[in-house]
Amino acid sequence: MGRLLRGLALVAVLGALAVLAGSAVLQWREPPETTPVTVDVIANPRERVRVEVLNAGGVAGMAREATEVLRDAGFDVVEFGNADAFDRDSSVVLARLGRVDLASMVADALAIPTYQDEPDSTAYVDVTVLLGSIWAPSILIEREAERPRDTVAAPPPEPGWRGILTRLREWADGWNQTGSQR
Amino acid sequence: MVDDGFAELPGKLLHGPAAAGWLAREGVGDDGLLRAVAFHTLGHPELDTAGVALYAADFLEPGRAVRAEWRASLRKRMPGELDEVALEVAHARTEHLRGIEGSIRAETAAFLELLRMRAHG
Repeated sequence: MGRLLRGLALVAVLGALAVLAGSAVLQWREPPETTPVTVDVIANPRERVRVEVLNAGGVAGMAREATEVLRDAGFDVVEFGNADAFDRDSSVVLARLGRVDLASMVADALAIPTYQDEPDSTAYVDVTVLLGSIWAPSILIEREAERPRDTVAAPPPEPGWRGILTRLREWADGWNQTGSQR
Repeated sequence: MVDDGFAELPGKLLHGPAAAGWLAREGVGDDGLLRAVAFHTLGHPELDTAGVALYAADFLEPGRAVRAEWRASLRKRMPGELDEVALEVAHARTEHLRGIEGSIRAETAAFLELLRMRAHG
């Protein structure tokens, strides 16, 4: 019986969230005012720059995070994963086909100060990123805070289940008031 | 966890009462919302506006494949024709349940009757 109840609890949580989050009720409600926040706008499309991102510092997930940053910036990350060893503290960006200018762009996008020409005739990418253990997205956040940006309205964060219930109640109360005037 | 009266419900209907019980224990004290969650698949004559809306919304949720065009047409009428759409939803649901179960629960029948009364004055 206890197992059944625990199962029901799980069903309850998932069911409530699925039903409420997917509820068309929230589509009928006027969207709340959005809070203007700043986000990047990529002004010019980049030429196709093929990049591989390798975790050489051993911090779980860092290659994926860097990949997301680069893809958001318009780079073509064709591969990400682990380097042969996790022995780097600092990060470096390598130009594989002689295009140091491209390595510089990638380094800038990741806030990595070091880039260099290190040709690899077998490479199929323009740029290789070796992430050291001290690289972190927080570096990017700090840098973003310092530079002026274009502003556009971003959607508000998704509410949790309490927020959804509150919105449903507010909508219903508003509907009742409107209905009483009809 | 779940009221004994719901114990025989099939799983896909049981999540409503179970979810309401969980929400109550999490501190939600709005009886109307708890009833809305508990009976969003069954219907209940004491559902308030939130409950009727959730009952309809659950059925009209985009992405459901069965009778998608008809559901889309009902969505377009919402929320302006809340009671009318809810009646159509309740009618379709109860017919479906009758076909599967052979009968419907008393609160579902009462909900359907209430919606019919509202629709026909």
